[in-house]
Amino acid sequence: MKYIKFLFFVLLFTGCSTDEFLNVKPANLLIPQTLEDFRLLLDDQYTMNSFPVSAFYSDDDIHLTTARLELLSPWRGNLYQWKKNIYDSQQDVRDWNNPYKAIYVANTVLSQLNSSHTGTERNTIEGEALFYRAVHHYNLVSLFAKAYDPNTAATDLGIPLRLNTNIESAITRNSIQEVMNQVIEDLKQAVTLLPELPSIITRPSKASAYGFLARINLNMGNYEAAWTAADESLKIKNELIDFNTLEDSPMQAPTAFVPVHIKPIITTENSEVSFVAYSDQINANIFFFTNPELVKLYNSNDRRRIVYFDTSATIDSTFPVFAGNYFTETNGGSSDPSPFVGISTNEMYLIRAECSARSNAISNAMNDLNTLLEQRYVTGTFVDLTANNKDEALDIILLERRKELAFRGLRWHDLKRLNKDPNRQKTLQRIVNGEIFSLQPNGLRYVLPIPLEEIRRSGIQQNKR
Amino acid sequence: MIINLQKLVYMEEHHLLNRSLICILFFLCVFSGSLQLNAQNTTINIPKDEYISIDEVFQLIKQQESDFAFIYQADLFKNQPKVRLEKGTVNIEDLLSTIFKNRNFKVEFNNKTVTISKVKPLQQLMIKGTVFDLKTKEVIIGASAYFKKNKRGVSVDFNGGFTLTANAGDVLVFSHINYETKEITIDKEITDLQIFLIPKSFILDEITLISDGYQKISKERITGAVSTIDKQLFDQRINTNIVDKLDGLSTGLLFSSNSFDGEQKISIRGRSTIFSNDKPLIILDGFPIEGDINDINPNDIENINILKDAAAASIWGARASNGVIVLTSKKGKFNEKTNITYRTNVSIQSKPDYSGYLPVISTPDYINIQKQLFDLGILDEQLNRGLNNPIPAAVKLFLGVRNGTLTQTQADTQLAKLGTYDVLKDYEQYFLRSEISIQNNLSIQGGGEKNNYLISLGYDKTTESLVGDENTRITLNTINTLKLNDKFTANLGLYLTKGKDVNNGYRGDFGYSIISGANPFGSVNRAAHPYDRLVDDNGNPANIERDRSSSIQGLEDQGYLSFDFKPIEERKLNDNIAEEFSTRLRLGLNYNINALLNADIKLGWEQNNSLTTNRSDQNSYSIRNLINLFTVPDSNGILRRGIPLGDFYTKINSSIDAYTLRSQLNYEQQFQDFKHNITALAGFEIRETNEERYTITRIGYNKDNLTFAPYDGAALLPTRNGGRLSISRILGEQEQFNSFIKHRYISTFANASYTYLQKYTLSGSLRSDASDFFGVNENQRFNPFWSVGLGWKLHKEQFLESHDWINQLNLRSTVGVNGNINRAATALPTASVSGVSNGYVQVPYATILSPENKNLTWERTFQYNIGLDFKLFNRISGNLEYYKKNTTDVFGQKRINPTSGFINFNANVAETSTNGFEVDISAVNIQTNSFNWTTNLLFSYANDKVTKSENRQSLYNILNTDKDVGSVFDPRNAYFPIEGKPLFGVYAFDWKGLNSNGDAVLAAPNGTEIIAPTIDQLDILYTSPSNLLYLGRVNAPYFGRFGNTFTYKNISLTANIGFKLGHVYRAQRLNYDFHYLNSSFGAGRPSRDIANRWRAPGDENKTNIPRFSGNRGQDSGNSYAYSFSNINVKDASHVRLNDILINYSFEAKQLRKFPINNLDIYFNANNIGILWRANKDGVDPDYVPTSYSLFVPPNRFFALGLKCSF
Repeated sequence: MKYIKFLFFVLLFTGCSTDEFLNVKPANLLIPQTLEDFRLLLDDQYTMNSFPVSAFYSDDDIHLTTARLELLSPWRGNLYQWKKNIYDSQQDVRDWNNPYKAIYVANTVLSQLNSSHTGTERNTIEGEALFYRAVHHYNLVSLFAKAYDPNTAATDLGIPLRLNTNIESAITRNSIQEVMNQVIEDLKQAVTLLPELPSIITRPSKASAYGFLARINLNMGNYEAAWTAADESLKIKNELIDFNTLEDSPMQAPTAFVPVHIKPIITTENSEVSFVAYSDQINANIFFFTNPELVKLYNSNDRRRIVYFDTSATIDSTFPVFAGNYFTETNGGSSDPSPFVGISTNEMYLIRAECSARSNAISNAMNDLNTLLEQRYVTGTFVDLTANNKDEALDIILLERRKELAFRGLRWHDLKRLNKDPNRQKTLQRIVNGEIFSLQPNGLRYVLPIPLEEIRRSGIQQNKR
Repeated sequence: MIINLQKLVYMEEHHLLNRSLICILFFLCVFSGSLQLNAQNTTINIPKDEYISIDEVFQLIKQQESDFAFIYQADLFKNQPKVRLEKGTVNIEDLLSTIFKNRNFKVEFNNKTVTISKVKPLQQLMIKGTVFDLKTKEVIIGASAYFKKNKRGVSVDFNGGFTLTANAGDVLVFSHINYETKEITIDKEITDLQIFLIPKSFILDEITLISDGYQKISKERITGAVSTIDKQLFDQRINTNIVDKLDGLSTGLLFSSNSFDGEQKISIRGRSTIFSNDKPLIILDGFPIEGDINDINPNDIENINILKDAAAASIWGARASNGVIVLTSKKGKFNEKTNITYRTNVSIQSKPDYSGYLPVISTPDYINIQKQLFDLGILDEQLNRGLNNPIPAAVKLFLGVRNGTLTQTQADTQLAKLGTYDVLKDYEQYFLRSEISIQNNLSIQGGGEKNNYLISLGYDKTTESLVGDENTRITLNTINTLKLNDKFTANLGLYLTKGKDVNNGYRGDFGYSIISGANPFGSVNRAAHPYDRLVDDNGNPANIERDRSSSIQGLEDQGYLSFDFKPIEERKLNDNIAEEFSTRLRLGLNYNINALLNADIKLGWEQNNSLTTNRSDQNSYSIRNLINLFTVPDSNGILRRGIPLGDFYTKINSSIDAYTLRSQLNYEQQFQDFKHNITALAGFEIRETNEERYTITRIGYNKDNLTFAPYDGAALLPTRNGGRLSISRILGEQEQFNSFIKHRYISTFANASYTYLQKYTLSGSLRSDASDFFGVNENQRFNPFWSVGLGWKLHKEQFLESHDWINQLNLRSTVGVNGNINRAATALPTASVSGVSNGYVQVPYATILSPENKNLTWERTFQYNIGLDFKLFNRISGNLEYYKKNTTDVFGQKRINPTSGFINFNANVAETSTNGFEVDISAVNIQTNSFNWTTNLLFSYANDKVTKSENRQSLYNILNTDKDVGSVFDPRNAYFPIEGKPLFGVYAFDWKGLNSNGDAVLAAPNGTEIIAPTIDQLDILYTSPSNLLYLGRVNAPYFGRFGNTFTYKNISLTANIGFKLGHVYRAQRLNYDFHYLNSSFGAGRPSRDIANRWRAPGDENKTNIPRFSGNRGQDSGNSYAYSFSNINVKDASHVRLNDILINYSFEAKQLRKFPINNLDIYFNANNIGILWRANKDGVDPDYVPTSYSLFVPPNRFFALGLKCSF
């Protein structure tokens, strides 16, 4: 009985260190603090490697019939028809929200990094965070602001820069120049921190950081910087795939119900790719339908025509179907395809070629182009292209750029930047339901409206359309 | 022959033996008939009147019937008076029984041998004892002790002592004018009997002890609002679920079934939170229930208290703001005879009436709409696209006419035939049946001086209405209490539940739904059309096309598995069993430190395990389809299967366990003859909960030899249509943790009450809760909650004492603070870790969940309550409560500009306020010896509103604020608080009718009219809720029960009428957007309202249903405007006859022949019907129907039960 009494009072006054007792951590939740935590956050490819999709619906490579438009959610159709309002009251506009989510993740990593984090991995992590912050800011500014113009960029409205994790701080739209400066600064710093090539293809590296510097500088018209960056990228990685080794595109076009091929051009084994990113939320019902004008541009010996497109056209016989480089295993289990929009060597060759041409280094330019194209034609059929002057060279390179980088999310931005050159302007036109829509060069509708929800919450200035 | 035994043989009657003998006899008589004595038929002749001794009588008998033998002690009759015999013939037995009548002899016949023995005189037992006051422990002078049978007895002496002699079985009564009378039954000699009498003044008020889970408080000292459930009604109601049985039994407790998941939601005094846990806390024997409340057998529950206000519930601190339901199990009692109770009942409920109640379009109307879509060309895109979806039967006929393969007449004949089918009716016929439920419960309880015990065994079985579904539950409950010595009392409770749910009913697969389905396109969600059939003309299972016939043509010949889908056959192809096993252990040790102070240690441990195994047969459509999908010809044209033949098998292992350790000191003392009375307790507890869920998936399962096929879940396999897909993508990972959560809590608590002059009570409580609340700053981990209460017994005041008609008048008032927690809200940024992704590369990753929010604090509910308990004329009793509660720092999703990286985040965004009153009155209307009529009225009013909200809502959100039945949105996410309005307000457009084109016309906020609006136009136009009409609330502000019980002799009848008043509901939506229905939101059978749509000019005078034009934007806008306009909001008030309960109790004298002490037979009729409703549409407002979900009121339910105790 004494024993019971003893035990009783021991139990009665059993206390324990409350803090210790309460410090349990749910197994599947983390408060990011360590390099391992940051690694997990940056490997969230559904956030970090998911790029906007709006540009795909607006360029001149896509073609939609009225019937197909009917199947789409309205915002997609609005983009196709360059309507004044695009997203209406939609609250989760992914093209606006997701880049900022990725930026928040990057900022979280950057703000949590401290002196306890050391070593190569720390550099890699910091470099990746800067890389993502830069590219997502860039993706935003290229959709929601005017094309970069060095003369007005300091006053042109860009997008709000987010450089810390304070979610409730007031925001305004930074100028395009400010945004670009920050983007380039972040990328330049990233280049110094990142490894040459990634250990995993979804992670940034020096090669892809240079790749973005090349892409961004090209868009800004900084051709010299773009050339240098493309060159640096190619120094690290310059492989090209011989398209004669690739399968033809699938004969049966995918449907919403059926998963599609993953073509080698974007898989992890793809030797051209240095960084994988994709555009989410493409709708399977329309993504495949290509402007016939585009397909006509390919020579019959050009393997790209067969690898990229299903011209047997079992569906909607009038329109070829793009079946080239996309990927279906996307977040949320949707089987909608996600086109590849990352960095690969073919883009680098084309950027270096264009920049060479623009600085009158014609033969360098054509060399780069021919190196690329030789891998695209049926073996033995390719004859080197030549140009007599800068303009001719540019004409050829820009045409090949369109053909090579079809459905890579670049066409819309190319249209935007090339419109700045009066000789390369193009008026876009669509006929939907008998109604003609057209988009003039440098038209206001080249700039997407900022989602209504953002305007309501933060009161930033809307784009004029 | 007469044998006189010299040796004494007592044939002593033994009480217990006799009892068991009766029992045996009772059973034996069934088999062996009656025992007869031969003596009975034998007579003797008495020659003359004479006066002889008993011995002489025997000799007389012997002379005439020589084979009679008499066995008795030689001098047994020595002093017995002689017997007077009269001349004549007499039956021997009669003679002997007459002789021995009224003598202390026992006569036994054995054939013709008669044994006579002397009955032992009753033993005189010496009883000595003392009588004490229970409270003061002082002797009571002037008390008396007397025998109940003859009222003879003694008064106790000046030392409180008494001495008596009694016979075994005598009942001794102790009484005193100031004390409650007490009875004991004497069974042995006792020389140190201690009798404690309870002071009368004390007992008058202390009718009930109320348990709040921590202590039992006398009702008189409770200052808070506590409802005690009418146990009789609770027991008479037949239902296997405790919570469901509470419906209508307490004020302030509202049941609402109109929720998305069809689950009964209960709320106590309205809802004081928005996004956090909204469920009341349920306590069983002092500890919260973490597992399923269904594990508890209602028959094991002794009493139920509902703690409603802050003071009552504050002892539960952070979890109490939704109110607390305290369940206490039955227990044995000390010094109680063994009592065996058996209950059984059977209930039956007819199958749900879907086709009768759901407002679905009729088949002919559906064909009609489909024809219109076809004629408008809307279906062409789908038909020509070469997709895999089947062409609906009616559309095939339209196509036939268009292509010229059918004449219009031929098509019409076949369409007319299609029009006679209805898949919903087929479903009811082949998939549904009446639900039958059986409950059995046996319990044994009793106790001695040192221990008491209860063992209860329950077995319930329900055959559910969906063919193939049934569940069983076995419960074993034991509670033992042991007095270890004067100081220590230990108790042990063990509650075991084993449940088995067989879920083999066919529920559809892969988005397929027989009932909800009905879209004319059939895209991602292939659904049945109303004219699809489950059985063909010959009564054989019918095939419903799931693939377009051209796309699967010839495949079966190549070796593919069948593409047929026959729902009737699918019924047998599931093998889904969920087995649950739960253990609840309660261990308590109480130590009496001294008369005033005792200490408690309680350990509560709960472990719930469930194992769900699902086997999908290889022959089921979904598995055949998957196997076919991964079947691809190789380069030689030979079919290769990516998935082996065999069944699919998943096993889900989940467990929840929780333990609580509580230490508590209890103190109670009176001073100066009850002038001061103090009770107090203080203690602390630690608690841990763990939750785990683990899933294993296997394919190629062979149930006969228990083998699986190995597979690589992540590998991308080629599919039939030229794609690649991984198996894990469809079935999930082969093995995975679905959850793994641990939480810990530490609480300290104290409460005290002080009563002065037994009139004035002051009470208070304090509790602080800390938890591992993830991400909260450490200084916010501890949260103090408190309450203060006052009680005043007016009837004890002099100015009321003279009024005899006032039996009780007790005024109470409390104020206090409770809390609520929300685990989703964190102060630090959190991310969730996922396993390997299905992206480009397979690496683990973490997704950011919530941003940093340093300002986060807990939700706090401040509640004020004032209550009055009364009893008047000894007939009318009850209570009135008025309360007001304000919740601040209500968690919610705060919208934020998306450049933050978030659209919204969890923050303290709102404040709510609820006020209300409650009336609970019982009246004895008629009371005679044989007839009683009592009435009970429960009336509650709860008015909640949002007083502050940092959210600005979009139109879409506002319209979805009401809990929309059948909505694809979880209602928890659809509550959008609007300042100044109830939490569940219903808003609508101002409907102005249809114009002459059949388009919707609304009165726009700017004073103009808006015609044929699109959804986006409306969204931009209605920028604030003030633009919309506010039409009322979803939850009834007034509700209650009106019950009457009539008792005539042994039979009682109770009828309960329930009412809910003052709320509204939104009638079902009209959705013209078939594209929407086609999308991944799921298909639905169109509303029957479509049949009444506007078709020609002039119709606008007859109907409000807009036209269907085929233009998607216009149709969506029109149907949206109509659906969310004020004409579609209806008054939901109604009164229903909930249940009728009939009980027949057999009287003891009726049962005398049986070894039964009590026998009750009872009958229940439930869901009897609506007596009155405000709406004219035949809608049950508790079950607002829609055409796209199977949400119907439960059918009438009848049950018959029996309860007996031995």
